[in-house]
Amino acid sequence: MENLKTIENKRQTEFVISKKRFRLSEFIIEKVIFLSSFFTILGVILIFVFIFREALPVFTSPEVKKEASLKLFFSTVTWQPISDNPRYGLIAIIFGTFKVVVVALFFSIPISVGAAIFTSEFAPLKLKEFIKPIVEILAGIPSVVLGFFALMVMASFFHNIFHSTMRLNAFNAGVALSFTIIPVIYSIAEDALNSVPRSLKEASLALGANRWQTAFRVSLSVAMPGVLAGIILGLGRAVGETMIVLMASGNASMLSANIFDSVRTMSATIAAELGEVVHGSAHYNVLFFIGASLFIFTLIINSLAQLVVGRLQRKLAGKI
Amino acid sequence: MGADFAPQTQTLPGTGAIVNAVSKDKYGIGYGGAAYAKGVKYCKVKKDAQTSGYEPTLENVKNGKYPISRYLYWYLRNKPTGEIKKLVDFILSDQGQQIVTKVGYFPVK
Repeated sequence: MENLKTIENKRQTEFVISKKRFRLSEFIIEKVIFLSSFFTILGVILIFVFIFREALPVFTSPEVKKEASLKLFFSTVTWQPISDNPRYGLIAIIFGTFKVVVVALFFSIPISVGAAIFTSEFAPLKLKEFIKPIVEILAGIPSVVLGFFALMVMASFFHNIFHSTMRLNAFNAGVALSFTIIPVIYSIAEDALNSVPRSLKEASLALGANRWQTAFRVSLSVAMPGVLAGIILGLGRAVGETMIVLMASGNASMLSANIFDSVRTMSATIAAELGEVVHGSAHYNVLFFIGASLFIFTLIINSLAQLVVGRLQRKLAGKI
Repeated sequence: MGADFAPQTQTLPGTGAIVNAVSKDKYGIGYGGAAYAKGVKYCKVKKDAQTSGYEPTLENVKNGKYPISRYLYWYLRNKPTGEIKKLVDFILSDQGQQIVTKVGYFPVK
């Protein structure tokens, strides 16, 4: 008897909950929120469409393809669009981006991951509260200021130490770029290390490991998805960074293995040349092609970061 | 003349940056707007291997002997009228051209 009553009551309650009263204010707010997200997505799609539409003649128009086709991009090393014989070789420019980013990662990964391990595992609370805001300040420095500092001060400093042939080079730009990446990797790695369950650290210490063994072999391994995601996001940020490389790298479109030679990166090429290019010319289309490539590359990098985090998180969840 | 730049040529954002880079590099050489040339030396420039080199002085630029000089152009939609005409007339007047010389560039007239 009581069971029947509870079923009836349940049905009544279900009826009351499912009937929504139409409130004008709620309706309006819902639609406004929907519109704001809609416009955000629309904006991204439109930027996408615009960039690809301007880059499309590289693949479709026959006159543009005579000067600058996908095959021609990789068949010559020289990037010389302004000349009697224009050549659009992308190899030197892509390798330039690669060189600067590698130098930047080489400096920023040890520093930021080390700092993250220090502040989450070893630092006393007062020191942690001091270090974290300062790294955040580093993140707030505008890149043009960093580029200016690299151009005026760091370039001479490294020139005096290494006596390179070229004062503005990939090494200079890479070190300046690492200042931009360090806060990115640091914040994410530090969050990842903080979210390692305390029981794991205590278990490791209880089994006889000392503090740095616990930090490097237990905490770091568990936090590895987060640390890797931070590194990958830093990589994406470094590839797109324009102002620093424009000022500090010397912008010489040469292909060389020496990191003390000037380089031209993809982002600096667009920044330097798009202001003066003839609209609608092959050069214009090629610059948009470079922009589209950067866009796609950053898209892949960010998707990769999400994939890495997701997969390793599931793996760790399965193990633990 | 007419050949391409070498791949090792550095492009810097602005003549000020070039002057700064050349002044800090013992073997540096560059070119840019004449008004920014403080703290660096002028070079003699030859048109080709046969002619002699000329420095960027006022006469050399005016009679065309200095090979790497160019005009600075103003683009207007129509023939200048009203306020625009006053501005253009001022620039081309003696007073305006004197300002050009004072800053470090070379006058048109």
